[in-house]
Amino acid sequence: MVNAKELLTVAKSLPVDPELFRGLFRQILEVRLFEEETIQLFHSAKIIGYLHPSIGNEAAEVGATAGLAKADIIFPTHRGHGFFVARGASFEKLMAELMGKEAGYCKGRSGDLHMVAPEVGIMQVQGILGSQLPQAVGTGVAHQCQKNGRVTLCAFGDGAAGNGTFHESLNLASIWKLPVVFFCVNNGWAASFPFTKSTSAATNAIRAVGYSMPGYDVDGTDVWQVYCTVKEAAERARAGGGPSLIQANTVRWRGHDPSDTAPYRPKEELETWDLHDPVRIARKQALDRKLLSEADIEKLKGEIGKKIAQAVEWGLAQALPARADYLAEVSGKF
Amino acid sequence: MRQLQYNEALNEALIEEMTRDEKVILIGEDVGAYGGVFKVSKGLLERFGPERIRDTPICESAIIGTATGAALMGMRPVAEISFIDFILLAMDQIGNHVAKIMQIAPGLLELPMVIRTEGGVGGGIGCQHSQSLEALFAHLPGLKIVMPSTPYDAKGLLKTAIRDNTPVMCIENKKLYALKGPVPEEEYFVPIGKADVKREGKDITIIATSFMVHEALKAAEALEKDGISAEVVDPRTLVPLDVDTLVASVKKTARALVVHEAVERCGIGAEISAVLNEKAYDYLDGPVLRHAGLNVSLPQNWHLEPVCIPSADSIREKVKSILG
Repeated sequence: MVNAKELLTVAKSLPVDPELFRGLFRQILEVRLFEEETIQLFHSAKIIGYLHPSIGNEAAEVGATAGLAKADIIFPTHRGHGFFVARGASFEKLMAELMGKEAGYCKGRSGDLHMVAPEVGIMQVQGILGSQLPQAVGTGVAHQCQKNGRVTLCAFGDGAAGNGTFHESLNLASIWKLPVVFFCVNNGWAASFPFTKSTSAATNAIRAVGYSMPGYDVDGTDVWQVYCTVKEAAERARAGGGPSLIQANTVRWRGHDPSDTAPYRPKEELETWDLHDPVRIARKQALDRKLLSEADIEKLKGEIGKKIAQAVEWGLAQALPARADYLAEVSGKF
Repeated sequence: MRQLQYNEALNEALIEEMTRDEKVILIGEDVGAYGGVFKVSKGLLERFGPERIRDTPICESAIIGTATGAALMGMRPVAEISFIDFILLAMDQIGNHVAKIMQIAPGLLELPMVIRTEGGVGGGIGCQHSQSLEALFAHLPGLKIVMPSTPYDAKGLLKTAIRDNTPVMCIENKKLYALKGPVPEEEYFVPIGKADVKREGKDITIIATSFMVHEALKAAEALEKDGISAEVVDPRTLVPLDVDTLVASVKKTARALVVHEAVERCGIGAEISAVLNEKAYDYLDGPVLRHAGLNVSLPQNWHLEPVCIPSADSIREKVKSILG
């Protein structure tokens, strides 16, 4: 039997930078409050189509984004609003897109499942899980050809790691030494199928060994650990050291989407979710390290709540795309 | 005029575009030292180096996905899938991504990429190396599809495709690679979406694609002896289809036969027939007919192959039966 731990790489732990940590905490809170709002809007049918909230993945998304440079590219997962928020995407345009409004990022045509925000370096969300891996490899090829010093972070879920694209992409990225960080967010569940049943490895991270790249297995609810790990992998990639594979472990909050009551999940797991709540964990870290006070956090909550309320109000006031305009634009297209 | 083989013309198109624009790169199986299964990328590795000529393992989905990602970052990749049969492994990337990205991100993303592939029977190499699958792709909104039948068209269309800011599939045919034809020394382009009347005639329009253009031309020559003047029109581009040229021809001949190597059922002939029915009904003296590949899984046997696809003889007979 192989000892999985011996196959893993552990990132160098950096001392906590107070200013940066406060910023990360703020973003984690932004993602949470943003998602709590989207769920309400989904239930009241203001957000249309699909919705896959990031709750449970906030620290993984925020920490990973922080580990990159501004010009780096991110491929989010289908549960990836947190990346958009962490990258500073416009809350107004995000809300408008989720509501199917013309003023959204993609003119209200792509919503939760296909949104893209090139202005903040975020490529399109994929409705076909795992299909983003080869595309991320392609951006890595472009970075290499253009010698632009950029790195791509390719996020995907534990479920998507079961797709054949995982093998094709990690192999290609490795033989070409591409600047790509493969970031598997393992939230324990692929819709109703648990990681323990879907995955023959103790962690996807040990699969990195087979692709001659470092594999990291990190606590995805610990924002600083995720940040240090992605930063190390991104810097290696930027320096020409090739790709890495990171598995960040989180626990999914409730169902696959707001209409899934998750009857297949063990009751204890749902009841103890608080132990894995990234907001609670980051909050405790901030308080313990005396980086923020209770009052600071309350103040932050107020500020963010206001920002989100404004975005919601703005989104609601926007117009749906006019059918005639849409028809005129797409008619006669090949 | 200078004569070049079809694969040499494609090779020249790649060399010219790669020399002009360093954003053009090539990705595929055996495209490097081997020079491509059909020698289209011969000499390119030596000329442009391994960063731009990327030999890949066997991973069709990743080849298309990689080209897609590179195009999203402003490169102009040409992905080669050496046999169109293999492209079924990349259907998700093509159908769900290449064809859709520009529409899900209106005005935000461009996808200047080319997928080069080839189809058709030849040499009895069986049902997984001989199919003609163009209709599968014509059914997907968002993909342009060209099918050049001559060295001239091959070079001109590939150059246009590489400079296009939207995804283009260039579907070649294995029986065409060794075909010689005139190719000017000076630079030229063939527009996407423009059919070509390969032979003028007045009694019937034969609309043929790819290798079948040449069989149709031979048939037209033989039909001359039967007292029938056949016009041969090559759409050259399947998407967008040059309906005007097809209708203009039918207006003149009042008869139309569509010929292709792909199986008849739901082939591009069905679409062309429907379009002519809608746009040229008043000019027609009879139904638009199809003459296409048998609805079979192709045998790995060159002796049986000829009965599975149209030939000059069978086209001639078909035309005689229409006008007889």
